[in-house]
Amino acid sequence: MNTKIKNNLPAVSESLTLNLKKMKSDFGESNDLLIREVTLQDTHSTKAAIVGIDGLIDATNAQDFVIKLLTADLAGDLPRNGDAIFDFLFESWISLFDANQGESVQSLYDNILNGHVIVLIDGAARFMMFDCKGWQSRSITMPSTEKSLWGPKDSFVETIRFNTAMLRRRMRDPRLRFDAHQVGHMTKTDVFVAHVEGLTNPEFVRLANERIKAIDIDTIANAYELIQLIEDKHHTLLPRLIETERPDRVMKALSEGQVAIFVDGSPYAILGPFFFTSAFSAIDDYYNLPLLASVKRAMRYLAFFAVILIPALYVAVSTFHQEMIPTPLLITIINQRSANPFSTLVEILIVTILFEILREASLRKPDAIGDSMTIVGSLIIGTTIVESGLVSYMAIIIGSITTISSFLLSSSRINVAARLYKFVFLAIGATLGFYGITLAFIILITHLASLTSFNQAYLAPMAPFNLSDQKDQLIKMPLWWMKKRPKIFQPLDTVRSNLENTGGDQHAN
Amino acid sequence: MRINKKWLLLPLVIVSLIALTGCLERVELNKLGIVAGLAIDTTDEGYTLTAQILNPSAISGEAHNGLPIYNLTADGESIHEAYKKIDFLSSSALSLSHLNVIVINEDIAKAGVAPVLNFALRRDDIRPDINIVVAKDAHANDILNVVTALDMIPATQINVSSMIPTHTARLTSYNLYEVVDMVNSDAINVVLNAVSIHREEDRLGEKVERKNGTEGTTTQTGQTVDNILDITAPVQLRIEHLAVFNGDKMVGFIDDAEAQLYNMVLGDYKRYDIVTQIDEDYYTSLGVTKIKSKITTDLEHNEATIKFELSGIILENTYPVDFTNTENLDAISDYLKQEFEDDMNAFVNKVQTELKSDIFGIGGKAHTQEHKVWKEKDGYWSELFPELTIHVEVELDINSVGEIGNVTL
Repeated sequence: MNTKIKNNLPAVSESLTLNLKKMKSDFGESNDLLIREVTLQDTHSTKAAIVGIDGLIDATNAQDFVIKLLTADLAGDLPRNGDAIFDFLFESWISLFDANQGESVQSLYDNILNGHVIVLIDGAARFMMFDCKGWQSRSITMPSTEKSLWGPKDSFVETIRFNTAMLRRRMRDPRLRFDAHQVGHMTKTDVFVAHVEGLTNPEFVRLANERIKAIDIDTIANAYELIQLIEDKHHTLLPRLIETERPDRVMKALSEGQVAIFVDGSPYAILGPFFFTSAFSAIDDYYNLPLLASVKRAMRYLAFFAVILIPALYVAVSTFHQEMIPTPLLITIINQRSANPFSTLVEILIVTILFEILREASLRKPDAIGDSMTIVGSLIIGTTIVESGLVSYMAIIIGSITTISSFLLSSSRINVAARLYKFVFLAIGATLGFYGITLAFIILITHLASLTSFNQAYLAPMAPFNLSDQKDQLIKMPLWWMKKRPKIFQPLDTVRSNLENTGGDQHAN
Repeated sequence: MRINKKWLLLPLVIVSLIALTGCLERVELNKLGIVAGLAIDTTDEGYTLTAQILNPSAISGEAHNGLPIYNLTADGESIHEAYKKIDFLSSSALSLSHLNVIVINEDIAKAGVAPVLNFALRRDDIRPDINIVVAKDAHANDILNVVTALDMIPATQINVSSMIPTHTARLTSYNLYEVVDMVNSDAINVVLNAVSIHREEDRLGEKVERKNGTEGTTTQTGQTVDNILDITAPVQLRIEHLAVFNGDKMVGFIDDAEAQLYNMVLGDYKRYDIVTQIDEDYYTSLGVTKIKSKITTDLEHNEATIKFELSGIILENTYPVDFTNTENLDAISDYLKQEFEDDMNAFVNKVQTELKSDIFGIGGKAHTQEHKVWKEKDGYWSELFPELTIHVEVELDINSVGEIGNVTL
């Protein structure tokens, strides 16, 4: 019988056999659905069943269950009905920590697939569930994309509960909240929106929650798919929400007023809102000398513009504006190119595409061939292609400078955008010269200014300009300067700390 | 599938822009002909222009059998027409943007350098910081024909030597804008470098051995690589004179020593040596390290004064004198001062009487210092200048004598 409980979901029936039959048919006689029927030690030999999915539950724990139930002393003054036995067992006997009751079939299925052990008592139209998660999960390793030399070296894993645990370990504020959602009809992936109550601007939390609730999709496998679904809608290559695999970075972001979104099954957490200038700061900037951080940030900005502009500028200058090259350099370049069959544009295209191919290949290689791939690729192919006279040395130099500059940015999605924009600029520089490059640059800046992330201007704090936030953008100020939180995240509580009185005694006697 | 026509418009616009207007002025680097130097001569009907074009693959290449440059010559009634003809003759796209030097004939210099300046400045592709050089006792294109050892391209060699006035104080380097200003104004007249060809006549025609083992001969024009195969090249380019102009017409030459004095008046150099002879046997030289020259004018009385404040160090001394004694120092500095004053006076005299051209800028100083008086005499400066009395006053200061310490126990 399919009775319905108050919110209109089909309910678990009182009869154990019916329940078990329904479960077996819904799961298609699957051989990883474990059902253990026991007879309780009471005067009426009530039947009970323990159900779990093999592989998701911890076998030792489950065994303890069975022992517990089999040894339950139910003789005594208990009434006969299943409900009483149910309550007795649930409240007084089974001692597991994470325990719950449920009534609907959907909730039973959701929980059993989430690593819970379900206990059904004949005669009670409810079920008990206990969290016995025991699946294999990857152990905590070094982060693969955001390596830090001086910081902590742990990264998130695929199980969302472990990730939130890592975050809790770092931020021990009880105000840290996780808003839970489930995304995906088939995957029912847990998605937690983490924020600090009283600090994070509620507008961001509301936006994140609303957008996640509005998702209608069947599967979600990774954090990036979630990003695509909840980002502000723009036609652009640039990221408006960023993902990270470092818990210390998530902790810092939360403390500034950002929102963090965890996705089960993905070792990446999503941070938002994300601004353009945040792409140029790496986590190591906080773990070393601030002056070094400022220099490195300047280098990263330089690298971004170098990747975009250098091939285009070279082609434009050498085909349209030769008067800008000093004469000795011009003579050297001409001399290298004198027998080359291809025009400058084709040369640069060949070299750039070759370097992109090599780069992709080195990412996917198995480690054994790894080093030889680098040697084969760069040295042999590069040298051969020049010495055979197909391209000139100058093209290889330009290609190498571009590729190496893009390595400076390689930990963020800006790298991908820069590499793609490079081709656009190259096409424009080769046809329209400096004028075209200038126009394209203006269009790029305008485009950047028009993007938003969680409805905040993408180029903040540069435009609209915000003087107090400049202390962590291009230049990184020392820690004692950063007493207030950045305004771009609009936190509710702007004062970070009072660092006047910390630190060593300056007038030590 | 119906395509929204709006999305066809943008790619169509881009494609038509690129196809119709893009890459219009594009020149591949291999097809670029870099003109390194121009030489302008006069003929009966007009001008003969010679362009020296670089062939880069021979410069940084291995075999030097070929020269890295080649010259193209054409005639025309105007300079521009002659250049157009050269453009037709050449197989590569000529580019004047890397032009280094323009060499002109003495005849053009005497007739007026204005047409050359007109040609060079009106075009937008000639850089205005290049030098104009006068060819002395030679045709302008002979100057461009001489192969020099310093730089394989004669045109840049002229430029290179023009770039060292700060070291030798014998040359001037004015860019085109400065030349035009000086030509147009009464304030000062321009002085340009004059290049001449120096030949060792007895060595011409001798056999020299080339790198690849064959034999070559040196020629009179010095236009083959054989010219530089010997340590002392038989045919060399030298800048030994400066050409003095009045307005835009050349009026004469001044030589090395006078060129140094000229630069001292303008205060525009770094080092000058005064050599004096004492008692006909002993030489003392002062290396002047600091110089201040100031020109004051007194047009009412037709006078002008050039005041020098020199200070320097004794560089060479063979006269047996004890420099720790200040009286001796004063005596020596008097000798040096006298020497300098005599030289300067002689030079000023020559400029006034022979050249009759105000190259010191006295007119300009008068214009700023005595504006009202100048206004009355405006336009007559070229007649007034030779009649001026120019006084030279010198103050000399010896800073150091370069002693060796004498340890007396």
